[in-house]
Amino acid sequence: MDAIADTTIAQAPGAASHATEDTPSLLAVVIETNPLFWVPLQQQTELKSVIESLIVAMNAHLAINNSNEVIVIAAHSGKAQFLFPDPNVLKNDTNPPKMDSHSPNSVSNKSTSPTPDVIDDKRQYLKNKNIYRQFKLMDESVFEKLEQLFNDTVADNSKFKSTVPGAISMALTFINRMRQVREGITMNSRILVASVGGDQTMSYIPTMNSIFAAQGMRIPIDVCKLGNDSTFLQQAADVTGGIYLLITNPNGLIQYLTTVFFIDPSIRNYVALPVNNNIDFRASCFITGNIVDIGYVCSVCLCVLSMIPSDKKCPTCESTFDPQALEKLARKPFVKRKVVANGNSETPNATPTPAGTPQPK
Amino acid sequence: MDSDEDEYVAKNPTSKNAGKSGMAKRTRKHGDDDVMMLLEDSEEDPGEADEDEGEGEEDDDDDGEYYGRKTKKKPGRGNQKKKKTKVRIDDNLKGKDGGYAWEDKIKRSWDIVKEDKDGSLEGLVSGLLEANKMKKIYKNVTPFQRGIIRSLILVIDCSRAMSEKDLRPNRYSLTIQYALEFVTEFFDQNPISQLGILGMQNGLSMVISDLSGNPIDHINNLKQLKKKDPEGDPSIQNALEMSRGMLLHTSPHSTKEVLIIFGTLFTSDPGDIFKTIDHLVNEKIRVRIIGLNAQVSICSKIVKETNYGDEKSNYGVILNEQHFKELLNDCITPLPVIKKLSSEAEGVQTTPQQKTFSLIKMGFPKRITEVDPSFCSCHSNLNYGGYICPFCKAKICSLPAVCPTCNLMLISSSHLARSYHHLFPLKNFEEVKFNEVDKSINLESQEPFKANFQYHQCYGCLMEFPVKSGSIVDPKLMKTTSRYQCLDCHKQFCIDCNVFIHEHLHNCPGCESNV
Amino acid sequence: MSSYLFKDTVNEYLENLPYSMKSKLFKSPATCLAIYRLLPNLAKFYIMSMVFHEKPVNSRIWDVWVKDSDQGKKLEVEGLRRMKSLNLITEKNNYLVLDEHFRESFRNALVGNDSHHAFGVPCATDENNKTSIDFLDEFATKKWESILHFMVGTELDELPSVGVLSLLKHSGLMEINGDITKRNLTSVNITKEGFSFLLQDVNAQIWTLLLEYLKIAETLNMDSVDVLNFIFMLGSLELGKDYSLEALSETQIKMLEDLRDYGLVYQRKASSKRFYPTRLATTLTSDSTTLRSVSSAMNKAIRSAKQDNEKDVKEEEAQVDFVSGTIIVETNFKLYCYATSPLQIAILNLFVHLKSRFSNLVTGQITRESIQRALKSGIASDQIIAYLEVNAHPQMKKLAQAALNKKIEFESVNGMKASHLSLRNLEIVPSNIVDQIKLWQLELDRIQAFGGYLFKDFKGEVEYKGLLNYAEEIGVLLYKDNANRKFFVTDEGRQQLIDYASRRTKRQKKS
Repeated sequence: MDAIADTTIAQAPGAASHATEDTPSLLAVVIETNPLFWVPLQQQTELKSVIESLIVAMNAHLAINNSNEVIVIAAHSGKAQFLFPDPNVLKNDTNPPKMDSHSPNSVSNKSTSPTPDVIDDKRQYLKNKNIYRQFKLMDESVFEKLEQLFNDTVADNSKFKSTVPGAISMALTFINRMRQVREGITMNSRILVASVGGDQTMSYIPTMNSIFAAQGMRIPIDVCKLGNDSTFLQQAADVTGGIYLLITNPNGLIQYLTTVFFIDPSIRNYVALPVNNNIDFRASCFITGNIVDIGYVCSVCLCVLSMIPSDKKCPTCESTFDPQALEKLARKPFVKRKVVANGNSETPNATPTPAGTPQPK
Repeated sequence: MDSDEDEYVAKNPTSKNAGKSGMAKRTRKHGDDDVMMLLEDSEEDPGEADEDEGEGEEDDDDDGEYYGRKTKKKPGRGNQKKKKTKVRIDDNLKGKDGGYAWEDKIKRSWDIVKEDKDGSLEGLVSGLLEANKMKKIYKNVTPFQRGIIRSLILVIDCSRAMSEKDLRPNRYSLTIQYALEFVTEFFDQNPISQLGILGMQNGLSMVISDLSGNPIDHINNLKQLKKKDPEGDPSIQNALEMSRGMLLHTSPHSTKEVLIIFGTLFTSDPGDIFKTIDHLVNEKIRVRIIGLNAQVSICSKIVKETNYGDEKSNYGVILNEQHFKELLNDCITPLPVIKKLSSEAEGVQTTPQQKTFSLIKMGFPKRITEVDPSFCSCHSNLNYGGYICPFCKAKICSLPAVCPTCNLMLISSSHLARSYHHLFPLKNFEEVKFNEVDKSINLESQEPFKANFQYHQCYGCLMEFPVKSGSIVDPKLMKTTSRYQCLDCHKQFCIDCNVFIHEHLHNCPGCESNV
Repeated sequence: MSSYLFKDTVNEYLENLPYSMKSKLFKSPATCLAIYRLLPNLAKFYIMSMVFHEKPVNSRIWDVWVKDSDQGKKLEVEGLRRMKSLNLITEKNNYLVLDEHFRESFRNALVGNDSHHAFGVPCATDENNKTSIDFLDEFATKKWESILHFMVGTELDELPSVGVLSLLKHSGLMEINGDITKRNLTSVNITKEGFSFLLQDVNAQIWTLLLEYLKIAETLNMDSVDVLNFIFMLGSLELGKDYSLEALSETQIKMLEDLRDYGLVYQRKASSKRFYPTRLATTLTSDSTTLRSVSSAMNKAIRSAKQDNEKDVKEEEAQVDFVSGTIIVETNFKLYCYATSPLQIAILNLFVHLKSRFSNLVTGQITRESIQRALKSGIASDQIIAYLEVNAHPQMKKLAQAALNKKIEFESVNGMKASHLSLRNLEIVPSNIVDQIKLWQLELDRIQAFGGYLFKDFKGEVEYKGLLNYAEEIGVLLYKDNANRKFFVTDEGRQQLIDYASRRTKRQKKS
């Protein structure tokens, strides 16, 4: 009895904690491949080298543990698509993503698939290349699907919207499925987003919705950002407990990927993560798109406005605002007073002086 | 439950009248009431629905006796004017055949189970499972105007009846346990709302946690409460009066709600509860009640009065622990706002929108970190960093908050974003029919046919659909294709993804990846 | 937990190899990958961050990476120790250098620039009648079972091969008297080690045998590097694929024969130019999670085989220890096991007082006597618990998972820190049973011996406390006596503590 109570003895050598080990983890990689976004980065790097680095990093992830898994989704121009596991190729049951059933029929009649001999050549090439089979399966599929994707889609300047939110949504639905299939087996999951596009290309609400869904599922979203900073993705990493890093020198990408982005969820508790403390929690105006730090919020639909709309209607939900209230808001020095006075009728004197009125930037 | 009510009435003969007159007034108002819709294209006119409820209420006024009388008269008048004299049955009691629910044929849960010719139940069982899952996610997706900014008072019964052990470990512990979860979830979904907690004990109402927007305070206070024992009798009136007091100073654009978790079958009040109800109605405070025991007449009255006659969705009596949880979760989603005329008693006609439609000024602070600690202006704690009010530059330690210096509402944009899915709900997916591709299939005929589908896999998770393209389907056994289609992007999803997308994600992966 | 037993034994073996052999091993990418997988998570992270970073790394950087918590420090110390003892990294003037051979091979494995055929050479031509995965599973199961059956003493039609018998004898798992080569056995007895061997999971069992095999191989002048490389390579092959013998060394071809007897590889004929790895082989370097699915796949294979020829009664008995998830333990020490195989029942009988047997179920009671009998025959309490956990009925696992989720949810609701949460383990076997079994063991082990060093005669309280805290922090402290200012640390901890002490004194001198 005493021996058990005495923690010093109980934690004899060799009993070093295994608590963190042995949980397989799933890495979902979202790569932004829209050619339009890569154009501004031409000076620094190109898509191909980034993909190569990512592939090595994914191999490294698979190397950690035999039951680790990877899914890869491309956020291309106009569509997001699974690169691995390949939706069209039938999987035999040794492949990592084990699904309930896979009928061979699913391979058939895909009009977009390139001529068979091209693939065969490629397969042969990869087959001869001596590489661990788990890596091979994934690498093959990614390259093949990417090539297909680029062959299928013509560069289209009209498609400047990013499909990253869609790709994250797909990753989440996929992870959700995995969790249901693997009942009883716990699995860490995380999402790594390699993004190049700016905030203006992403639609706000879907991005936020997927972030909150990820938070609810305890899936950290790590963001490897090339190009310019993105507030949305910063928030994604912050809310979900992921890592956000703006990479200024893409040539050293592989080193970033194998250090900062390589921290498995199981050791996150023990490793000091790079933190991004100065996160912009400001919202953007629904009309002008400007970033606001003091704004007006429609009480009906919560849309954020940087100024009072001229037609006295909410641009999103089209409800007409009370003209009197607007009038009061428009008289700048009293704006503050009115709003506050409603809330705290006892202390109207506590309102700040007109001199402190916000300066719209 | 009737006896309860009678007893109550006997004690307070005057109150009954007062209540009745109040009710009559309310009923008159109903014609003008309607539910505000953001969009015109709703499927049914909610105004009409409301009117029906109003009429239903008239019937309800006199409780059970009323029905008794009418039913007796039925044979005499029924032959002459069938339409008018047909017994009007409360929706609550209406059964499938049009009569009372208890007159329906008995339906046993095992009646629907039929084996296929191989004696297998697989097809049927999977169909039932899916139907169950669907039930969960089917909701009205018409964008209502919802009261996103809420002020809610949670009233917990802390009286003797709560020590009953019909819920494990007992009612009291379970209620507090659930209340803790409720608080977390409430602020998760309603980040810019306020919550207060009251307890009913010894005929009094006590403040457990003041009205505030900080979940941590509430949680700590609830944990303190856990250590105390329930005792005495509850008083709904006292609790409601105190709630009124707490809700008095809330901002005009916020909703005023009270949620009572009630484990007793009576209320021991000092005064006239019907007057309190009138006050509540006037102040537009909406009361929801979750009963742990049995339905209590006064509760249903309170709920009906304060919710414009809509008792069904606001007063629930729990069946089991799971149901308790569900009822609580229902209260997390913001209520649809019901537009109404300002009180007639004042006699002043103002336009109705004014109260609710306005712009609120808010600040979006930046988070900072400091090398040296400094005091925050909200709790005067020393800490390394926090949020800086964009207006007065005061340091706040957590969001959302009202700046203690300049009273500006401070919030982060992600808080706002959390509420967006209530306002812009994702459309329900539609089940794909067997004749989606091959129009020649006659679904009515009971003959097996060959199914033909456009997609083989779920778009979200790549799982293959159980009913394969090209397989032979027997419509008697296969009720569902297990495919659900987004009406905008026409991508197809499996049932699990469908549930996940509507319950958690609130995004259609198909639409978002096809921009 | 049991998978650690095998991890530990393999690690121990590797750690004790001389450096020259290790550097030879590091030349094979497959071996590097396997060694990498055996490392603790934090060490994996360290290695990965150094693979593409050519310059030596200042050892302080690791201190910065790891958060200042007891748990984190312990993991860090453990990770560094393991890497050092495997000669993966060397420390020079506070700078850590990754072994060059390892770096190159591991990088090649990741990038795919490999010229060593480390991952096997698949046959270029297709075989006429391909061997199916189901067949391989069946083959592996049969071979492996016959070994286990032999050990528990089931009557067998055919004795295991000579190689297997001598291996069992040399490893000390069995006491075999008589002429092995002529298969003329006079007496066969299972030893203490044999009993505990039976309780391990399949993977650990195979590793135990393979390590023993290595020892024998050394005496037979087989090149251990070749043997190890081959074993690790098997772990990275693809199930159901045929591989050519071309790239194999002579030693390795010789090995094939023995491995075939264990059911690790399959060859149609002894002279065949190709071989198939079985599931037992391809999962050699996997951890327990995959193994669980392995055993279920095995079951499926067996069952489908049974359906094919239902009349074959022999097959009925083939359903042996690969059956996972059949044991239910209740808090009242009653145990139910859905088992038909004599092997599993025999194993259970080692530590359970079996009461009744039905057509597909045995029931029993875990009693003090039954456990102590098992303990006396050499089975450790941890092994028993691990066996119960690994073979727990899925329903028990589900319940445990649900309970854990509830706990985590509750704690997170009540504002507990995330770092505490992740430490909660799944309690598959009721905790009172686990504790009781451990207590029963403690009744027997009144004295437990630890090798180590006693530190005493400190200059003062400050010095004593400083060193004591450090020892505690890195987890090497075994005993302390505050009143007399003495403490006792493990063997490994001594050097670290001395280093720390000298650093301390230096610092003090400076200041």
